[in-house]
Amino acid sequence: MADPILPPGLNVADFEDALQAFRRIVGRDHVYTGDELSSYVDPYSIAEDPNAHATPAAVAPQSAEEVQAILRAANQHHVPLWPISCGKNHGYGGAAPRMAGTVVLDLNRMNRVLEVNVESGYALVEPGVSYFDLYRHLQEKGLKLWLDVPDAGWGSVVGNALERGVGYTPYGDHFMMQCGMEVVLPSGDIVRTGMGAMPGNNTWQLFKYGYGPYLDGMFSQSNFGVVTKMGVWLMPEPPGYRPYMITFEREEDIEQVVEVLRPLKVNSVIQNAATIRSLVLVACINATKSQYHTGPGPLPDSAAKKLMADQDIGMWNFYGALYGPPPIMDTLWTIIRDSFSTIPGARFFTPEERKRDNDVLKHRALTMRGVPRLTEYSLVNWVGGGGHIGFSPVSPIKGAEALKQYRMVRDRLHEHGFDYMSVFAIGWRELHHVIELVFDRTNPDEARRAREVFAIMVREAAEAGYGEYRTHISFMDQIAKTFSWNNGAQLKLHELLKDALDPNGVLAPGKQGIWPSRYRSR
Amino acid sequence: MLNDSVSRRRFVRGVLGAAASLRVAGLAAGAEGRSAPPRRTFFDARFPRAAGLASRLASDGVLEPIGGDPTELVLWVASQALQDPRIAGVTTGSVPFVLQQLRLPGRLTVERIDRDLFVWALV
Repeated sequence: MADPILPPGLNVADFEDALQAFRRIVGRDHVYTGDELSSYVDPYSIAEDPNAHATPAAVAPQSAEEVQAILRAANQHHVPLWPISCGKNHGYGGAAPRMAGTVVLDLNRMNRVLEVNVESGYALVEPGVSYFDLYRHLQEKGLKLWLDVPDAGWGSVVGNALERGVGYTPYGDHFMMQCGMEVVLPSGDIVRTGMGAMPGNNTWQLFKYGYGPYLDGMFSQSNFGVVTKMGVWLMPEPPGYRPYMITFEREEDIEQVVEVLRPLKVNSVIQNAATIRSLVLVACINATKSQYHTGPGPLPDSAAKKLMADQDIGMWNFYGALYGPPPIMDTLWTIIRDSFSTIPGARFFTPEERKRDNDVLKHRALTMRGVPRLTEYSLVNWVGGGGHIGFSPVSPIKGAEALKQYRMVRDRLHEHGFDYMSVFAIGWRELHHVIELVFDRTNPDEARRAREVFAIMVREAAEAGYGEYRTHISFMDQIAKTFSWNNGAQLKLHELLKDALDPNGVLAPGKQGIWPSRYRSR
Repeated sequence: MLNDSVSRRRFVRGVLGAAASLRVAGLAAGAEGRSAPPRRTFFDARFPRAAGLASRLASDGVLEPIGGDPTELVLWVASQALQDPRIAGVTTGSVPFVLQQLRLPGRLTVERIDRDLFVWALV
């Protein structure tokens, strides 16, 4: 085994001292080195330098008190830490740290569901609680509450919300649905946000804002603190549920689909965080590319047509669901159906009308009611030894913008030999255009092309005024620089906050492009 | 009938052909003498070749078809807790990938055998 990459400025003896300090806090069994670190790599890395995100150790506390002690030791020994919850941030770096030499602070062992309140519809959880865990907890106790889940059900409820992930029920904006945090600051001090700041208060998980400046946002996609508890709102089980799919035949239909969609979403006729999925992203659940095209380059049009026919899907596939009493669902469905029927070739399906056992609508019918799955990992099968990274520009819910983004991204991907695989996720006022750049991670040339096209897409999206909502650890600096209004005023503010809260720069250096002064000149 | 590890290894080697490593084939077949054959072998029913290979790897164990969705397998593995982990498969890459991520007890060995398929064994 090669020598570990140590934290910048530390020698072997310094680092061993730090590990000893961590062992005294969490016990020898919960400080990992050497071969025990295989879980803390980015499985889909496209970094040119294989050590770009290497970690020399991981430490796994079991309580907020242990997190506090670890932060204090990290300050004393100048050891940078990279917090992970369940470590399943695949497509964005997994459990690997931004900066080589950073020790992973693994919160997996903090996996308690601390409270579920059925009457008010919330849970209070620790960061190691996965969607599978919380779902099982609700099922075992027979609680009539639904989760909202992302595609990877083994991810952390806390971690996904902090990364501003999305799901597919009406509670699909995960950060919007969090309420009240407990946070360990880089100094080791601990705070509770919102109403949690008041001793004896009973609305910590009910009223987000508390008194004074609202702080919770500071701890999302940030390196300002380690969230050790978080409230999450859960959806009362509705009296009725009807998932549906609408398919559209032509590439250019995306423009009209989004135009039809906007008023339906803004007026809450579309109740959930619905999605429009591209042909290949849907097809890859049941097919691999080699079954349709074995040559180089993207899928030819003729193969795309065959794929559509074989799987009875569209070039675009809209997945939504109705929730509530039957008369309300009937009314909403009439409006939705009439609206999308204006698009030539639109076809409407319920799960019962789909023939395949593993049909995507049957799968989405589960995720749109909060059942955690791992089905979407099928996308890595499209090219065999697949890896993927997410490119996720945001736009208004406007047809022309969706079509422009689609063409821009599709053309670049095709030029570099990749297929276009995406989902347009519908937010309250915006579209998240999440492009899955799927490549063969066993093929160095494909990884190189993925790296190149990703950098081009970021630059061109920014030139067109599109920013990303989230990104892979290898591109955090590049994305941060695209938010450059007023000479980078926002990043400067982030750095000001970082230096005030974390003068030794121990917490997640480089996260989201925010570097502490200690490493800023590197 | 193959009933000893050496002949099983030789047989698996022949089945998988040159594209698959002897290491994986040997592990899957329990050929190193340290483990029994897989008690459950999964194969991707979409690929005829997978079924053929898996039926040979399975020996006397249970043979189960799956698709590219790893969810049910992961839930099943999780339900087994720390009990006998001996499983193997000839599947698409999503299946061994998620197994790798689970930090299971035992050793997972994976090898790609063609553009779509992987042979893997957890022992």
